[in-house]
Amino acid sequence: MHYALKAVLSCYVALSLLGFAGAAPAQQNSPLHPDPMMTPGAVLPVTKEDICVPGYSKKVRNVPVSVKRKVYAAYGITSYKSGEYEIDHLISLQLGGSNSVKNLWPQSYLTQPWNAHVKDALENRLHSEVCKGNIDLATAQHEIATDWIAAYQKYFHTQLPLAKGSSRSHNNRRVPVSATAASFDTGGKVWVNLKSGKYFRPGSRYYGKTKQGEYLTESEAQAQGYVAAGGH
Amino acid sequence: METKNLARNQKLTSLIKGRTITGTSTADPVLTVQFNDGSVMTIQTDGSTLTIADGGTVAAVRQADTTLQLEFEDGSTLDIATAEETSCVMLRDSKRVMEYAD
Repeated sequence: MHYALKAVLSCYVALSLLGFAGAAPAQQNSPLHPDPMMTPGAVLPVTKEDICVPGYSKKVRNVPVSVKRKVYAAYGITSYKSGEYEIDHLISLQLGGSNSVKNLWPQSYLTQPWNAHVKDALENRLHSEVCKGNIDLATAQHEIATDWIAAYQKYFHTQLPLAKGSSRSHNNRRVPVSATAASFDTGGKVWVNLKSGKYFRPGSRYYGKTKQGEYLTESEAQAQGYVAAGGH
Repeated sequence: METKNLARNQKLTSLIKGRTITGTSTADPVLTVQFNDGSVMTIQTDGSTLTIADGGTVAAVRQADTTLQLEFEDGSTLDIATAEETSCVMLRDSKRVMEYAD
């Protein structure tokens, strides 16, 4: 009981210590960043041990449609086409972000070169780095909440987004976003779906396709508790 | 409390259906509910006072806006006003492993 209360309160203490409310990205009016006053970021009282369990994100409630509508309205978006935006968790669920409206904003899929797909890649990278122990959770939360593009540039060592599936560790050469699928090189790794806790081998229709996922070797995936999709 | 169209929270219902409340405590603005299997649910409330009798077994959870409703097997209900529409409920099992958050 005491533990639970402490966890809840520590969440807000951590937020204020990190200065989320006062964080003001340089491009605050840009559609590439959320409004820092409306969307400073908010987290659940969870730990690295919580978020690094396969299937963690699946335990979090889906954002109700009514809340999504409020977020669109708050950002002055009155009409939009399917596939134009997603209601993005500024601090992603897999990094302990919450469903609070303080952590939600409409992010475009269409802006170039920075868009929701690129941020997804950053979210997966940060989750992986946190779970490997390379960065602590609070740092990852702070960096993605403060300026996700700067965080992407820092953790991918690039000024522009990399093509999906490419990595400097493979060829030390940046591949532009417009590169074709033929340039993807996943080195025979499996694709783990961070939400479902399953992994997919090359050739599967879901390989590299689920929103929350990352490439791991099969032994890494199994060591982290992921199971092969379809039992094979 | 005004009548609202409360939708069943399937995810939370599937977890706590059948669990019986064995104790509650409040440390504003957090309500802590303990269940007979050792699990603990924390709810950030709007600060309003609540009286929850022990012994109720959960049948369903419904939710809309800032209302979280526990429906018990005896047909009674308990409406809890949460601090926000989301991000107010967390459930951990007896080993303190997270089962649910919103």
